Amino acid sequence: MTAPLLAARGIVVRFGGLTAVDRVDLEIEDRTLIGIIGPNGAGKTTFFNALSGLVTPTAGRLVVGGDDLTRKPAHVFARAGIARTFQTPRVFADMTVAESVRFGLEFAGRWRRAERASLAGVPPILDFLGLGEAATLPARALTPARQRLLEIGMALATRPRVLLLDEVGAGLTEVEVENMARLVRRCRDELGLAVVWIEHAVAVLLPAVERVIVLHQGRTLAEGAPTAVTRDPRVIEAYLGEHVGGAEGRP
Amino acid sequence: MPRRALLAVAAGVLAAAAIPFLLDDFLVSLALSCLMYVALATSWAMFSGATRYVSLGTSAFFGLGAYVSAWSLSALPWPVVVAGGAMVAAVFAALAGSAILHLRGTYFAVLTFGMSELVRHAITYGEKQYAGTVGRVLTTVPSNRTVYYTLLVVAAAALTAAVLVRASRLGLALDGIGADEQRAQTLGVPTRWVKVVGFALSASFAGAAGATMAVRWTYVDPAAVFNPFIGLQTVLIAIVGGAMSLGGPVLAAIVFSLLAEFLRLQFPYVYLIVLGVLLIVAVLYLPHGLAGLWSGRADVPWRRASSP
Repeated sequence: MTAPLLAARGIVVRFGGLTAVDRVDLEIEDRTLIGIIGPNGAGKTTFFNALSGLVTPTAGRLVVGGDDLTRKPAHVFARAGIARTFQTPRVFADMTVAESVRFGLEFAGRWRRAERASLAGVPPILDFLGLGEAATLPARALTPARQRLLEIGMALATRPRVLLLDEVGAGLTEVEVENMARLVRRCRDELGLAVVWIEHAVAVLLPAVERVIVLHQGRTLAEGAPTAVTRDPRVIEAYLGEHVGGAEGRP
Repeated sequence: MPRRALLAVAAGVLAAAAIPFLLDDFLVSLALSCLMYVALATSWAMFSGATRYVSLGTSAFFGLGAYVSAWSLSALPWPVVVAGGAMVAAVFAALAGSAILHLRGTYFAVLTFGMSELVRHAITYGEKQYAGTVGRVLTTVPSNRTVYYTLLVVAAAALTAAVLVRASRLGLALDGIGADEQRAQTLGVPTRWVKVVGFALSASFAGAAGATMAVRWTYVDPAAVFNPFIGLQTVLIAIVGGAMSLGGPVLAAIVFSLLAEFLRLQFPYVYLIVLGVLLIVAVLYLPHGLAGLWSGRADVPWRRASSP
């Protein structure tokens, strides 16, 4: 068995008296597609912030490709092959689409070998995303859905091994969400990446991933195959039950 | 692109080099003041324009340079004195920057202002304690022409550095920090290091300008060389000119220096009023400064932070 690309062990993130993430473990192996679901405030984004080095965990260890990166700043994680997107797309508004992608190649990407031809330069990355004809537009001129694609492109330009996607399906139309799910699979199948996908909307995510982790109040409530997790009574009670019960159970 | 900008810099330097041969002493001293603000505003914009970390610390770097000059002028050759001013300012900026560059916006601006005051009082105290004096009279100073050409070299160096930084990976990193610092970091930019290097580089030119101008004044005391007005006016010039552009701060530095001289002679108080009004107009209606008028850009980077 090979070492995981990224191993998070007993991650705790505390803000003052609030424990946002409470002893969460995650091992990301090569070419896996993992989903993380959970109600609002479950600690999903905070957990991602810890995995990408933006937040230093209060306790726990982060090992990337055998190197302990706990307490290291975010650019070290990027150079080690951990890329991410943000819940609300954070693109460089004044840069063009091509310049934005080049940015990743100039920094973290420069430290890493392109293992796939599709990550070698700006044009193949834009083609992979279907943004080729938008190359010279300023990022702010794109629709929110395409800004999200661009954000994934900026992340891909760092030539990662692990791609962390934070609610890339939020606010998209049904068709756009299906396209996004297809793109997420292609990142794994065609680019050979391990992908971790956070989504609040369960219906979008479950069919697309192989393994699901359910976070609830900062803790791992359940973990396993999507079909098994959705049948777990604790999950139904804490997450799905809340929705179903709230909508139908009470007058 | 950098080649065209460098050619423009070279042409400007050649034109400025002819000034002492063509104009009388009064106009040359006016040109000197233009050059000083060209150097200060260009170097300020190099860091603060790109990163949007508004620094009010220019007077600290300028004053440190001036004091390096006052301390070492009689002992060291002139080019070493000026380079020393640049170096001391850069080292100080790197140290201070390491301590305060994790703060943004108003906090950073206020702390850089505080930093200038701190340096001023530290020097005042040190001079009283160890030299038994507050001001220093510089007796043997280089000729006016030497001062002019030194400052021209400093301004040309600041402009050349600004052009080269913009074309380099450092410039790209500074732009990324200005656009979204966390995003830039998650794309692999060592933000802390980049900010400290950019801040120190920018400070070195203010230090060199201070070291040069000190000999022009012949009397150096903390109140004069750490005058917060120098730092404030630098920020105003860069913002009114367009801190994101190369030509904007240069143009504004020249316009302001001439305007300042004219108004100071004719209507002493009106100058400050005009300065204040221009800043307000620039912030509200000319987000890219005067430079935005000819490049035709319309969005508002300085105000974007407040939009949802």
